[in-house]
Amino acid sequence: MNVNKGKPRISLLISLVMVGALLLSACGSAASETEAAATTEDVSQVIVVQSADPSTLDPQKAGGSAGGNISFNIFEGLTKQSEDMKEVLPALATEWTAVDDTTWEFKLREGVKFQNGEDFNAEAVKYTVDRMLDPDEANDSSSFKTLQEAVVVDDYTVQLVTTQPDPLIPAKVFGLLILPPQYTEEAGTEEFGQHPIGTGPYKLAEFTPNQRIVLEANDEYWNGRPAIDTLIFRPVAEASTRLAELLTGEADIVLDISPEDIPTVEEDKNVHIEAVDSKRVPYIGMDLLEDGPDFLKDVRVRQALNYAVDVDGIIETILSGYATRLATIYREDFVGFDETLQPYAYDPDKAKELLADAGYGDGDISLKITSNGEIITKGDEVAEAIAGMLQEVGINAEVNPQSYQGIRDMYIGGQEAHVGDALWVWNWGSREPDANSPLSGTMQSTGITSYLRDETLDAMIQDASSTVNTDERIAKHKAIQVYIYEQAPAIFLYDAMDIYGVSNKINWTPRRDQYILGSEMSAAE
Amino acid sequence: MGRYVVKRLIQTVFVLFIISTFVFLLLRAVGDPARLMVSPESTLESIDDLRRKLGLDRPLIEQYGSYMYGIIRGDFGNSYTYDRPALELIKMHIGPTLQLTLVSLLISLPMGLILGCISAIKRYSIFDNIATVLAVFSRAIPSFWLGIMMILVFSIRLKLLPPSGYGSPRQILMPALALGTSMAAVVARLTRSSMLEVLGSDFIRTARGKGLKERVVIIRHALHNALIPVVTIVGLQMGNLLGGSIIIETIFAWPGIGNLLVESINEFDFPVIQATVFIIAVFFVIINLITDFTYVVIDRRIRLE
Repeated sequence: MNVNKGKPRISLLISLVMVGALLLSACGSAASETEAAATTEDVSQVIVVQSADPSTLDPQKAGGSAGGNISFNIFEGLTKQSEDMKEVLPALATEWTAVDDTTWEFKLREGVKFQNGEDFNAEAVKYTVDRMLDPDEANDSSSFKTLQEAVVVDDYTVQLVTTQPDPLIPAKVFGLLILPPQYTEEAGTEEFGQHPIGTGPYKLAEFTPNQRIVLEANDEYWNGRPAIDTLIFRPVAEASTRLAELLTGEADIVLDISPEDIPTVEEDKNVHIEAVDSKRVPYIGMDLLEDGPDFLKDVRVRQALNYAVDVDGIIETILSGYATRLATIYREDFVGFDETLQPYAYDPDKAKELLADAGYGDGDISLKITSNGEIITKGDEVAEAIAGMLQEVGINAEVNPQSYQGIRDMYIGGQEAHVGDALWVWNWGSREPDANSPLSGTMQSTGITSYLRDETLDAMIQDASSTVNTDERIAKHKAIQVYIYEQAPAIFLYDAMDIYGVSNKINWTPRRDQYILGSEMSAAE
Repeated sequence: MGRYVVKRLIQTVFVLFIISTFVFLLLRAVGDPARLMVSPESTLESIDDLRRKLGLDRPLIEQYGSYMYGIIRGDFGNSYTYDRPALELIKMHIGPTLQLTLVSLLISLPMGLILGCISAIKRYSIFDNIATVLAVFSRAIPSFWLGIMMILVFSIRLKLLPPSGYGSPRQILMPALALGTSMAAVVARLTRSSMLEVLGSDFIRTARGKGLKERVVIIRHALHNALIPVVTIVGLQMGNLLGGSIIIETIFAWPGIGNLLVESINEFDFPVIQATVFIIAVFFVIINLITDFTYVVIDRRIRLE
């Protein structure tokens, strides 16, 4: 036994490990410490904590809202939307008119420069549109399906030509974030996504994936320097940690507060809750395809499912009241929203009656509801509640919880494989105050999550979406609402609110479109 | 020893080959990234377009071939969402993970060794009993729960530490503790039993009989010999630390590869998942190798053939 021989080697090993670890921890910067310290004294900087981190800041690549929150501070569109999304306001374009059914003309703001000094003009708009429509470049042109090309009229006039009449173009170009042609070309796709340059009120100062994104006020901004100097976006995936960031004062704005955490935030005297109707509308999808379940083909059964669910009860208990009941998938701000249409009442007796009429007695129908807690807020709980309510009217309902990827993989473009259940929790968001996007995505035959093949409805949607005259469009949308209400191709639910925790040190109200704009923040008195 | 090293290295390559093949096939079996990546307003055709763009429409064997060829050249492809090389992303995220794992090891290892030794020496004392109860609890408590509780106590109630983030030494304390507690418990229990066994053996009696000081007997003779099983378990636990860091990093928003892995799984970002799993596997294998080689260093009687 030679004990002594081995010992120095172990100590050597241990010391090496220790030195290594010390070196590694010394490598990390102490930046976040100063971050926190600064916010306790002044509000020249605002820290926003959200659940996800954008992978790129290229507005034509970043589909998710995590990127959108940030991109809309760096870039601007031709127009912008009011906070409630009801009004379209001037931004990089000062005025716009419809030249004919398929051409919109925009007068551009003069004297605007990109953050690198490049001039903003009609060429920049054309470049942006060309890049967006180039299938090899961008992957987020989907909102502009109708857009054909941009035509430069003169330096500060540009026309957008569409393939069919599209009344939503002025609202949509809020999302047409204008890129600087020269810089974008020189930088290349990858580099541009990491170091984007726009005309917006904030410039990118730092982008460290999964750590933080720092934006600094743009001194040269055409509409005046914003009040808040620095905006910091940090990703924190875990909801309870996000809440802790807010309660400890490390964060000023925290996204996606869970309904059950609202009392905790309200008890704290340094922070408060801000809530706004969301741009996303949850509903329970139904498989109405040819080879789908037979019972769903009977309209009486679909209506019975709507009567059987106590939506107000779900809003009160599961969502702590933070949702607005809707009669269909139309939001209250949608063009042609019909407020006279009363949501299906909670009436289990009527549901049973309708089921009996359709020939289904107690226990004749068995179905599953695919659920997920990320697709809609508290999705698993909502699905459980609905399953319970369906059981009350004699339907054997069972919940099939899935991961976020699982449920998306099942239902997006999954019509052919047909692996889904009879019902599932789902939602649809729209950047514009118009039902076109949700209808074409979920109810028109060609929609990527549509499990409905109804030629009448297809024609109605197509017709409404290409009607430029507002009064006519309103009438057509009212007719669609009545039609889908009666046909009930979904269990209609509510518009769940987006819930934010906000520090009392800043003045800021959330926007319906979920963008977090530094230019709309200021220090509280 | 030389032949042994060569043999082990060949095994290592084989293990990595199996793992990378397995990950490749498993990912293709679970889902389709194109469906997750299309934006809501797209049409059914755009899913096919995207699939073509990502190269997912090619025959499986062809995809596998270029994937394997890429790995050999150290190229895991470009991330679907980040639009930059997967390996570059791993390079950005590996530092924080190593840092967290090492600090956690530095906290848990000495803690476990000291507790275990004292427990063994003062067997059945109050200290030993308390240490036992603590160890059982620490082993039983899931690390994510411990992490959330720590945030509640140290951040929200006591306002001592920032709840999450990366960069300052204060931010590493909670995740490192949450990650290392269970390991400390294992080390403490093992050190205790191993020490008890050694303390009862003949050469310790001899050492005491020689009139050596108790301190010398314990540290030089007993602890040294009791360490062999501890080293094995520390090696195995290192793997757990890396695995556990996936959850801990998510809770504490620690920008390590665990966080990257969870995010890439959420996005079905195949190149990043494949690269991350591969790199984690490489670490596991290396740790196992080191553990085996450490035996030889500690105990000259072990010949690795």
